[in-house]
Amino acid sequence: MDLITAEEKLSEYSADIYSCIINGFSNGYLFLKERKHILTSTTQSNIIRDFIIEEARNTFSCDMIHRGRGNIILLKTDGYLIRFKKFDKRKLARNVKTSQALNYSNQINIPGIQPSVHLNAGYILDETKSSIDNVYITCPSSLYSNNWIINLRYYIENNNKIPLPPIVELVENINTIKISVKKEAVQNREFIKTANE
Amino acid sequence: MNNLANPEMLLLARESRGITQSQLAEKINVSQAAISKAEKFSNKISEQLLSDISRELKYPISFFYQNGKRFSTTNPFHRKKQSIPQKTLDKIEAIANIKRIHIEKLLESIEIESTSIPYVDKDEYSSIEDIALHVRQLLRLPRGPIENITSIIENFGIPVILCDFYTDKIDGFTISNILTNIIFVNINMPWCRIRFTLAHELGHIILNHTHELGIEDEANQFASSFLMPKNDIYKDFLGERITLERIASLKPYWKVSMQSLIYRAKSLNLIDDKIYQNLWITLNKLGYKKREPVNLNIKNENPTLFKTLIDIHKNDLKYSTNELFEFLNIYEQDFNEMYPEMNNKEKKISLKLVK
Repeated sequence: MDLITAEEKLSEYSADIYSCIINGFSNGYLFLKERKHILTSTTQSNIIRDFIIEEARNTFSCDMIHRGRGNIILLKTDGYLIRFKKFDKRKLARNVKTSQALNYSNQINIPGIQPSVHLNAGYILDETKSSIDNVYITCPSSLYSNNWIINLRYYIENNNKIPLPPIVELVENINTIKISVKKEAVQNREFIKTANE
Repeated sequence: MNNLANPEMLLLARESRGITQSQLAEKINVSQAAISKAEKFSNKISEQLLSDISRELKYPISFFYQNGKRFSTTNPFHRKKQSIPQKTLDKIEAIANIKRIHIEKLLESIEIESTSIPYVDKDEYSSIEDIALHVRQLLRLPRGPIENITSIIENFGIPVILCDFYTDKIDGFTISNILTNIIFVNINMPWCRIRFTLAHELGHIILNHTHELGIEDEANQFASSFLMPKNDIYKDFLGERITLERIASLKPYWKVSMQSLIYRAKSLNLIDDKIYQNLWITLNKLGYKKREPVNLNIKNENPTLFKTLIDIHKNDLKYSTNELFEFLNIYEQDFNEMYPEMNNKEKKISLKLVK
């Protein structure tokens, strides 16, 4: 369960985990952007999580993915189980205290899955909740504490903020204006053309 | 072509290149006084001098024989942040004037049937808020945010021209004459800000502004009320804790900057002084006063009126590309630099020609 081993074993997957979170957030945010003000923060987080999971499904091989109840997936890799979460400022996953959530955070084995170290891969948002501030992999010791934290900013190019690709979208035009050529302009033009020939 | 070159066009040409009379004089080996006289009196422009100026400033000789009139800096309304150097302002306005002359030439062959501009007498209304509401009603705009203000303006027959202003200190301005209004906006600004500028300039036009005091404030009030009507935006603030997160979530919906939303909330007394100050402190601390988070950027709008005018000349009046440059008295390179949007062949022109 130590950090150094985890860093070594997860290094192969870290970039993919990172890009799942970034791309999933980016797509999810685009989906809810113009409706965000009417959605609760739980609904917003659920939408973002679904998009991140969709990214993970498309990124990792089937044998790495374990489907849980609801739209929860766990990544199985080298003795680790990883789930995707949104973090609070203390880098703790926000959970309703179900026994399932407690067991996961307390590192109690999950029935039907080989004993593994439970990890959370998640993100912290900036003040406007419109961009990701950072991405981490954490190893919880309880609902309220972590054994260790890996900062995935290592994979980000020296930026404070994760650079999301700017998406240039155009608004559709609704035109009611009618434009036509003046008759005399056409005649003048034809006259000039003929004269030049 | 006239017999005499037009001194106003000489001035426009020089200013559009951002050089002083002395700099031009030095480059073509004449005195500064000679340039000064040429820019005032048409009979002081010899053929040799005109040829040298034309070569140096890279405008065809025909450019200087146009009947164009230069609108002085006091004519247009500016939406600008602070004072900017006169030289920069002259350059921006010179280029805008050249574009205005192009548009006027293009319009000579065209008939436009557009929505009438609802000019108002502000003395007949109790507030600018009421005027904005009235205009929205006349245009039968639905409640809530305005999806595409560029479209609304161009449907009035007012071309919206995106320009590189070489500075972020100026947002836009309108040049008006008897025939037409043309709105120029700074393409280097984010679209939430451009939309506000467009609404601001529309305010100047609708309110029949000339040059009296307080018109900039009135145009800002109009823009704010037009884009964020009081009755519609009220519900988004009432009963909510107004944090930066809340403001950020409203931005993509209302399609205005976070700063405009904060101003609007304050002007409608939806937030108190303390929250207002805290929001500004946070915006400042996070650097969002200069540039708001990229993820909150709103969709770009797409002015099409100018493109349509060019298209009609090419397709219906059968102008070849070179003939068009000759008609506009401009070289190809300048045209491409002045109108970069015309180089994007993938963009569709959505206005239809009515025959």
